[in-house]
Amino acid sequence: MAPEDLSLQELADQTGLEPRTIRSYVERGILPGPQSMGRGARYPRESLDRLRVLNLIRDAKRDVSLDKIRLLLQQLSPGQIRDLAEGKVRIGALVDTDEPTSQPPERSAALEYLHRIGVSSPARQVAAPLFQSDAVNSPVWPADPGLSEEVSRLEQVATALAGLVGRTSSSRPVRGERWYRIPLTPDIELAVRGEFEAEQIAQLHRIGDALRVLLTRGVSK
Amino acid sequence: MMTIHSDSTNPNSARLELSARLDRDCVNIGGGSVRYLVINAKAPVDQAPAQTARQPLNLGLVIDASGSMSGPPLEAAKSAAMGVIESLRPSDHLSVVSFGTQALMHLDGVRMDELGQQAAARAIRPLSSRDSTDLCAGWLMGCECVARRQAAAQRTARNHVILLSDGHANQGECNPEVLKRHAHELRQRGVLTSTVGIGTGYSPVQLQAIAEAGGGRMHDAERPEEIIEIVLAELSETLCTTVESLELDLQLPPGVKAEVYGTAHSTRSDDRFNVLLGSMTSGAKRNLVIKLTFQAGFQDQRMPLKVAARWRSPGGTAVLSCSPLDLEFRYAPAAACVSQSRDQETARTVAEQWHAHIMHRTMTLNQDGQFEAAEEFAQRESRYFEKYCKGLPGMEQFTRELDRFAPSAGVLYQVSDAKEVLLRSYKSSRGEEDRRSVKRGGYEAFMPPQPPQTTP
Repeated sequence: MAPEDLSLQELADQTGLEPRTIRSYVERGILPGPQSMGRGARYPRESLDRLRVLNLIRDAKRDVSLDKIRLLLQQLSPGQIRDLAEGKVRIGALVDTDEPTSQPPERSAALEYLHRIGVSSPARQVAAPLFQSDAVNSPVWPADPGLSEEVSRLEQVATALAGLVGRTSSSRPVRGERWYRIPLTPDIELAVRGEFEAEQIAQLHRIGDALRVLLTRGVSK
Repeated sequence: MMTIHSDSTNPNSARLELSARLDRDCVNIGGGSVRYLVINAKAPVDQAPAQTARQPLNLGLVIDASGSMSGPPLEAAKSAAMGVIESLRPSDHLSVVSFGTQALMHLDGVRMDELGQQAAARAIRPLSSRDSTDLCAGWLMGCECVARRQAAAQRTARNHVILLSDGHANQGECNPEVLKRHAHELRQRGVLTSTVGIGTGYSPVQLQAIAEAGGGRMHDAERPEEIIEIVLAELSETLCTTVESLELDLQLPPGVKAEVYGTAHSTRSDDRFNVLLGSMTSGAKRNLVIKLTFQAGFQDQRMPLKVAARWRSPGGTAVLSCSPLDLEFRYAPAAACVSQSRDQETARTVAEQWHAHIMHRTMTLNQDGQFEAAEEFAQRESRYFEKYCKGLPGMEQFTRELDRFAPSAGVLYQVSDAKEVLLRSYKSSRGEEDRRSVKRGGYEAFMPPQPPQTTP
């Protein structure tokens, strides 16, 4: 262990970043991992330089994606990164590139922001008409001329789902296997276990859309 | 005078045309010179024929269902929502939220195929009015629906919220500054908001804050029948938007003060001055006027100024930019500055934006109860304005309106008249069209009657 190695907290203190943010940078390949694992994990000095450069880039240009920063850092030697971190070289040269200047924010960033400020839709906020309209004393799935058509559509959805899942994973849960979740309503979600290709994910979403319509239809009559 | 043009050079990006002009480029060595920078942006024209496949739309419709909306306004808002449903395509997704005391979600990112359209119509039909107005909760829930769909989407889409309200927010978060901050953060994350103010008796302050910082547009629909046409017009504008989140970055010479004329949000950090212009529809033009005030300097000293722009294409994957524009001021003795001619077209643009700025700022102060400040501001600016317009043809109506407006600025305006003045000056400063089919009179129609002339 080199004497200038730092703990996660020391990195956080010196860069103003949250420890969990720093960990996520390690996971995304922006920083080298710690020299050792556990509570006493130590990070090389280069990590501090990289984080300082990352902060400088973000200060100079908003909306630069982490992927872009990772690519920029990959192209630099440790000496160049240190020069940038210590202000010996102007950071503008790195980020004053022609368009496209940066990647867009992460797609889920808006959702994360809303959750951070406490916006989250619990079931009680779902429109009363969906649950308490003139069908309040009626069965949840009302009998009407369109019912057989919808049951038929539900069967199609179930068949499509079974076909999709049957093609992708074993029936036994495997530790660490991925669950793919699609919110249908604020209190119901479709969770499917397995690894999926983009086309299959698109199909899952189409199934989710159909289920959502069926659910909405069922309770709003 | 100096005019510089630039456009985006990347063939894969939408071409935004940017130009900048100065009304005069000589500044007094003794200091105190005021010069105007006029920046013109022209959005790229959408070349795709209307019938071809367009980018999917992930739309959130947020409807004010508070007690004050009961009756024709709410029924019209529901009809507008039905019109929106019919206009959407199977590749689009729709969320519907209503709000009173509590926000309620009626539809959460449903694909607008035939089944989805039916479900949406069923969800909207039973909507009824209820108690007070938590505008913020309703709007943020609509944003959440759109953001959830945005997160799950496999294809890039335009993520947009349209908020319809009579603007009487009286519950939950009502502070325009907080609403502005949320709108700004959500815009940065790809969720834009436009607003439609309904009725006569609302203050557009909150709705303007959301639309301005949210990168969208603000509309007014005073009469119930206008709600439908305005909402559909906004939908159409959303779909033909070719530039989103347009921001201008100015690198100013040291010691130069800058002030935006109009309603565009601006921030300053050291020598950097940033102005948010927001969304622009296909082929739209927008003028921005920035007032620059100079300190003293040395004869022949050069003061460089750089203007850069960045934006996104709707639902696009990158932040785009164009080559920065370089302009320059030159210090000269007072006599040389006075004798310098000014560009008439630039001066006219300055006058138009300045006039809208005076009207908007004064009325904002008036509605905030700062009557002395409103009157003082209007009187002072009107004097400077009149002086600036001397020798500039076609400015008579502007000066006449200000002559009449300034003395009345210290008396509280009725909310409905104030709303018209605010909306008109907002639209004028953004170069946007008033989409209402029934056209209103000029500013003077909303000013108090003039006292009868007394003969000496």
